[in-house]
Amino acid sequence: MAFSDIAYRALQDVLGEENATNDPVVCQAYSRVQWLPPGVLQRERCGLDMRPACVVMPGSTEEVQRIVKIANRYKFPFIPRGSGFTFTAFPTMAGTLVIDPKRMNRIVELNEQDMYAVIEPYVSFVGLQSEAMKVGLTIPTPLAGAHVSCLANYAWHGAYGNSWLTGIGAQNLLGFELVLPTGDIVRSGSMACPEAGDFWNDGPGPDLRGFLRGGLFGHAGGMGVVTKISCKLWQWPGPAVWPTKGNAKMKTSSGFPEDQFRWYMIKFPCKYPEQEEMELKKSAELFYEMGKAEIAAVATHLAKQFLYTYSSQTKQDLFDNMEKDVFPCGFVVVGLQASTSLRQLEYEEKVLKEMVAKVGGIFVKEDEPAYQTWIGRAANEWLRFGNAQRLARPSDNFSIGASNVDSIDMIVYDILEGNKIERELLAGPKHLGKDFVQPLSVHGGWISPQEYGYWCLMTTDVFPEQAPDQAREAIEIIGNIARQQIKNKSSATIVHLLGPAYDTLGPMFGNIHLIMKKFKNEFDPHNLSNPGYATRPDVLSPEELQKMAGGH
Amino acid sequence: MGAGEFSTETFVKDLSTIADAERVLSDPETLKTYAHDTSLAPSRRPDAVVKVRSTLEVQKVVKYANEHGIPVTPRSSATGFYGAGIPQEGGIVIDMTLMKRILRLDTRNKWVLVEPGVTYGELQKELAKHGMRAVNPLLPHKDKSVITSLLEREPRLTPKHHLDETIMTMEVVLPTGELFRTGAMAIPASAPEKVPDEAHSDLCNSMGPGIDWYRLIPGSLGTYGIVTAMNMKIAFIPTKQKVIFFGFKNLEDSIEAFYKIERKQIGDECFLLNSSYLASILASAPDDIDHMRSILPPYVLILNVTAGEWLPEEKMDYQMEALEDISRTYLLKPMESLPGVQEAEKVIADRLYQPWDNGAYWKFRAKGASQEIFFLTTLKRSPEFLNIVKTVAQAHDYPVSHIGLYLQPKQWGRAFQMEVSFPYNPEDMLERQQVENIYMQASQELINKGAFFYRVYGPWADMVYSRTGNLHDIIKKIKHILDPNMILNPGKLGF
Repeated sequence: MAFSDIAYRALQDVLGEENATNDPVVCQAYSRVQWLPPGVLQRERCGLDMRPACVVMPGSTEEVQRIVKIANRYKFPFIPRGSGFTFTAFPTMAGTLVIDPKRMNRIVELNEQDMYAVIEPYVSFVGLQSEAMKVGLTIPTPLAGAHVSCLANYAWHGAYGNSWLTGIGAQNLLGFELVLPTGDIVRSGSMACPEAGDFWNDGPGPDLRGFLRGGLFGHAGGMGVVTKISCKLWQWPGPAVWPTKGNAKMKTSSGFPEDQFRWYMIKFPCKYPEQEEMELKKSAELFYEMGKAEIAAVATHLAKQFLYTYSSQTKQDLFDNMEKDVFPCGFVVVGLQASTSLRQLEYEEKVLKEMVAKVGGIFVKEDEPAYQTWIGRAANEWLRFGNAQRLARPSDNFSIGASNVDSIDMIVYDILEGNKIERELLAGPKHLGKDFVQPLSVHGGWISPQEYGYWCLMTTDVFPEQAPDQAREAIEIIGNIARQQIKNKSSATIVHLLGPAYDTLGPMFGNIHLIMKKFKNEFDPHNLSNPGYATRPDVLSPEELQKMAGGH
Repeated sequence: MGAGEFSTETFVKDLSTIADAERVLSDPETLKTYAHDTSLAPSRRPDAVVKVRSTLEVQKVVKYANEHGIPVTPRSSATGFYGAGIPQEGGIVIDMTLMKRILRLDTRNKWVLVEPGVTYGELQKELAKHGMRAVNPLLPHKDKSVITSLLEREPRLTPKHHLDETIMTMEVVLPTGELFRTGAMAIPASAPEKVPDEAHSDLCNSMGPGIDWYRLIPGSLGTYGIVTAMNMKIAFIPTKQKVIFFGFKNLEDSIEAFYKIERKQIGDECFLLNSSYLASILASAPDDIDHMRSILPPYVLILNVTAGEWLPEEKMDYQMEALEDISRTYLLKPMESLPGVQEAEKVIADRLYQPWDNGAYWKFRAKGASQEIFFLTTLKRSPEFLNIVKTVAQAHDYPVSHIGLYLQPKQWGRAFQMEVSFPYNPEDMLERQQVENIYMQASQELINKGAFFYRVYGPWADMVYSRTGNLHDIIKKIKHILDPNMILNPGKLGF
């Protein structure tokens, strides 16, 4: 069986006619992601036939459960989505149901004393942070943008401006409520025990956060629908309401009192890009020292692509700044926060100055264009994202070129390798990326040390337009970098396992694809929950594998 | 026995082809020592013990056990406290206490890679040579395996958020005998410690492959796999430290100040003990415990204020100033020593990073044995739970003044592990029975009221999982996926 009028009527019975629709105009809006190369190609490939058969908007866990049970009865696939940011949330086959959680947007609990919140899937970062700040707390600040779903971002791999303190999405998830692909409900962490409160993440027994997600990605809705999570809140010494003075001019960012936050931009004089390696390695030295001393709330190295995209107010502004070479190289950005007291902040400032001198860095002066542009306009966004995804600003699209999780040293190595490959491909016979936004596309490298530098995350990105040909070029560039990472035995290959990658790379890693297929078959016996994710349930033949590899 | 059609003699002989014959133990007296631990868990004797020396031997034993349907129970510590290493259905105990190598130390990235037999004493000694230390629990037993402690999720002494999840990557022998490596260790290499040499990785990615094993495996009590190597976060030894004590007459009086200290992120190690537990640590001899208990403040919050390499005096100063502010607000009197205890500050400071090394384990000093109940809660609920424990103890005529209490903040005070203990004379069967009754009744009442038993030992499995909906079905399905023959540590977690 598949999606049918009978199934549609059943869904309308459960949800009301206003919350279940097969209107082609509405459904078409759920058929594609506008950006990211896979989304662009998906749009090209899928066309009108691949719009969902139906879109539903449940209002509660119980309604989600009934939707999933109807899907199991009539055997049609369903895709849970958050705020619709990534390509895995869109149909790839006919007869698919999309579950839009827009009505599940409640902050169920915000616990000031014990620093956690319980939220539904459509609570955005900006919504949760605004409420948290009122009681002296905050949340991680997603580069994906203020509007994205906290829940989906935590279950995926959200990376944050203040990851130096908070880690990534995986570190911010506490308990969860999951409607399994069969319609059963499971709760994990202290949420599993109704009288305990929702404050804690692991147990009872094995920590099922390990089941819910893995590597850099979650299972992209392939293991059911998360209907509620509890998540961490963090200490916030700043004001209860975000300052807005100065925003109207679109030239400066709102400021914080000097006794609460201080920003610093640090450069390592070099001839760029020839001395890129030296610049990155000295940045790494600074991070290692800061990690030893456990100072600062924000510590990150931003490459040109981040500096320009996040600090420019408009696309024109971005290109003007690039023309002026406002950011001639990457910079280290450090934010100090008075978590304990003003004296603690002053102590950290003093230590930072000594460290910077030790590693041969120079504080960027307030009158330098780089300082005025970044600190003046963008730095505070690393504490609260008040904007949408700015990486897409240059070309209305972007593509992660390389990403990885490992030590700071290894991240530096991977950035150098990624940039080198991108430059070689640009100069090579096919001139891959020649129509992308340059120089952003070959001067990447976000060093995002996590949890005082115990580990580190990176991305480099390229900036194709939303044209299929450019999307294909971007994917070819990614493929080249990925092949080099595999050749280098980089841990990047581990964190990127999702969908087809399980079949091609699984044999390298203890046959994890076979284990994951067992999980998929056990928990989603009819392969209905976002089919293909976390992995397809069947084991591919050597011929099919060969075909798949050729296809990449 | 759980050996199916095999006689003990047969499989002991078979096992001797995997490990040297002298490392395959089957004499009744030796097996008896593996039948129990310090908990009240019933004794269950294995049929054989293999003292393995390598991961390969672990694999071979597990594969052999799969072929013949023999239960396998892994054990890394020479001493157990919660019954997790007692074989519930006989079979083979894989004793990993001989796997004692510290495989690699990375001071730059702050981790150490060890085998399961490495104890805290051994590890701290080695790390100290490099100015570093393990992130340890409160005064672990000298024979406690570092890996076991982490897999059992014993709380660390520090509430620092980034040290709450300490496990990075692991080598795991799955219940089928297959070798699996997690996180960055999954990169193909000849051995875990060779990854940084043979690959471009420093073993600093804990996540994946596929699922987050570093979270799924711990807490499974050895039912999902046998960890044969693990790298874990370590920390620098402070260049300066000062132990501060705050005394309280009632637990309730400590709550607001405790929350505030955590919210202000002051100090490093931080915890609260009642006079009974603190006396067991500080008394020079067991005979002194009663007296010391009577002169100590009923509840003592202990905070270790530390500083590292950079401007240590200034760091100490701003922390002490912040503490003074809190003390003024909550009318507290910080103490640098404790009544009746010579150099209490030094005694505590010296022991914060060490296993217990003063004769009988500190929890057993008062009466020879002790039974613990521990769970997570938010701090504000801790007095409520303590009252439940006291009420149950009183109903069983157990002296409440003997009950030990330990409160450990986690993640800067988001949650607290609360531990209560009941010392008893193990030779006195009536007293043992009394404590067992209290243990069962108090556990059930605590669970009923919302104490979160996240570590699920022995009878707690039924008590907890009867209240958690489908959760047990899910972890059981995962068990079946990973252990289709159900041979690994059967009888635990309700499997």
